[in-house]
Amino acid sequence: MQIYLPIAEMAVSAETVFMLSAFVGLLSGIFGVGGGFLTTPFLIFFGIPPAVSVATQASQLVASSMAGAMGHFRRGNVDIKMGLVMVSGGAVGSVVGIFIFKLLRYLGQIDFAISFLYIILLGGIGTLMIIESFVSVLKKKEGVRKAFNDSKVSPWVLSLPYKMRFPRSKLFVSALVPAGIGFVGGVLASVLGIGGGFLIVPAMIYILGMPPLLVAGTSLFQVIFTTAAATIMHALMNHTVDIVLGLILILGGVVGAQFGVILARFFKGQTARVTLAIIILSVCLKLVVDLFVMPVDLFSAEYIR
Amino acid sequence: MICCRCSLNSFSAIAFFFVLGVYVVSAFSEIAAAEPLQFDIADDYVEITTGFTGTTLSMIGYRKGHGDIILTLEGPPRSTVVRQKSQVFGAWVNRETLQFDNIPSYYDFALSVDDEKKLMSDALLKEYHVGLNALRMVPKEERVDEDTLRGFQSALLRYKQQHQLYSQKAGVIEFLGDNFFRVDFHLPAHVPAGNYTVRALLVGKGKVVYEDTQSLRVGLTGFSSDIYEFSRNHAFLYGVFCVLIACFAGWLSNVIVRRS
Repeated sequence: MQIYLPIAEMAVSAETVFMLSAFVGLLSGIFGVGGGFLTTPFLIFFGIPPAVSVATQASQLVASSMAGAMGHFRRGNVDIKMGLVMVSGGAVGSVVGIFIFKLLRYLGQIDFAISFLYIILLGGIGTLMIIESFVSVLKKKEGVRKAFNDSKVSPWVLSLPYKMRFPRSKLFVSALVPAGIGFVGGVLASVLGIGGGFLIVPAMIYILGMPPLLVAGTSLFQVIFTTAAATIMHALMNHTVDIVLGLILILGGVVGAQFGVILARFFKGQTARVTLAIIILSVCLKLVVDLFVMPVDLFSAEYIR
Repeated sequence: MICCRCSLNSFSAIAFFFVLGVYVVSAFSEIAAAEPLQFDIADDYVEITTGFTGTTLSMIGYRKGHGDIILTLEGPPRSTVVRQKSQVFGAWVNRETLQFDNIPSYYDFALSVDDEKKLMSDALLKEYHVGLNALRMVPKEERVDEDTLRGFQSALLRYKQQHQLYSQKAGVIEFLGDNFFRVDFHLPAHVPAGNYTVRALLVGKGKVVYEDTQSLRVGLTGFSSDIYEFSRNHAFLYGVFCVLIACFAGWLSNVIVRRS
């Protein structure tokens, strides 16, 4: 069924977009990742303008992080105070991100910037995952778990001013640290349309020293707000949030994730991680090829709205 | 109402000509004698709904005498930026940019002959915007050298044609008898919204003998239009609305999943 997207000003096949987001939802259900970093490149491959892809993907993340955070919240695994401090940084980050986005768009470099950043991110994550898998096969799980517990917060983090107490996480750290992590998440949400969990989660564990149990819930909690801020800013500044496209993505994501959770039982941790790494690296490779192979047409055109 | 989307198999052909005849006679019985060229658009408001997949725009008309006919369809002017990629450290990156203001967002034309050059001089073709070479494409930037400009102009034309916004070649004006004619223009799903101009020219001996223009509106209607207007006129509220919908959808999916 062809459906007209009022903001993208084009008709797309609703089933195809649905399948695409269901596939990403499936992956996120199996592997427990957000999946925003896969949806945006997929939408761009599919012919949706990058600006619309990024902004609309941010709105889809509001829904998926909301659904995810609720589960953690019910189990009491959210440090709300920590989350809100992160949100304060995230809100500033998403505004800064919007201006970076607008500037890149004005310079005609937004497509390049999105591709380039995705290549770095996906290439980095994919490679790390592969390496980690090999290392953990060699060292067995005990070693990894030990490394987790032994991680210490570095001294310069402790020396920062504006210290705050976070009773839930049992931490006494500078508010600048969580706010700074939130800031990076906000910039990523605005520029790339991703929640940035893959960067925020390790940062919360290794830089902030939060208890791992609280990390996933708190990170999802703050992602709701940073992606919401990014969505509103994109709608206000760029008019690029397509709610019709967004709803198809949300629906596909929800359905896909349910099947993913069921399928997750059949995937062993190690196999799952390597599979996901291969998918991530394939998307990265496709972006690299697109960037370095001479385009069929050197020219491109775009309406100014 | 004339349905022009149906293929003209034998039955529908008869029905079509009958309906057309009644329509044309009623439309032109009084004025046909007065004007040398008359035409009418079957539907002068094209509605883009959520299920819109493009449409066929049919025009019928009447000419007096034996002049040739040109019909042009021009979309609302829009500014377009054309960029040229070149290699930077092996990667293909946008480098050169030219901005073209007020070029037709959509263009299609039809002729009663196979080539517009047979009808008028290049200057006249340019004046009346007949044919793809006659479209005015002047960049905003001044002092652009000829070769560069030509490269960008042909790239713009190529882009428009690839996106089915400009026609590849002239459409054919079909004659039904000696003086009644009919043209079909096919509008794609992503046809730009706005006010269109349809111009009919009667040409004789290399000159425009008679000219008639009509306007046509292509607009989003219903849901699509509401969303578009909302996003433009109340951008902040629209953003908040999108976030609330997403929050609700997230909450709903969590509840449903927990129940099942």
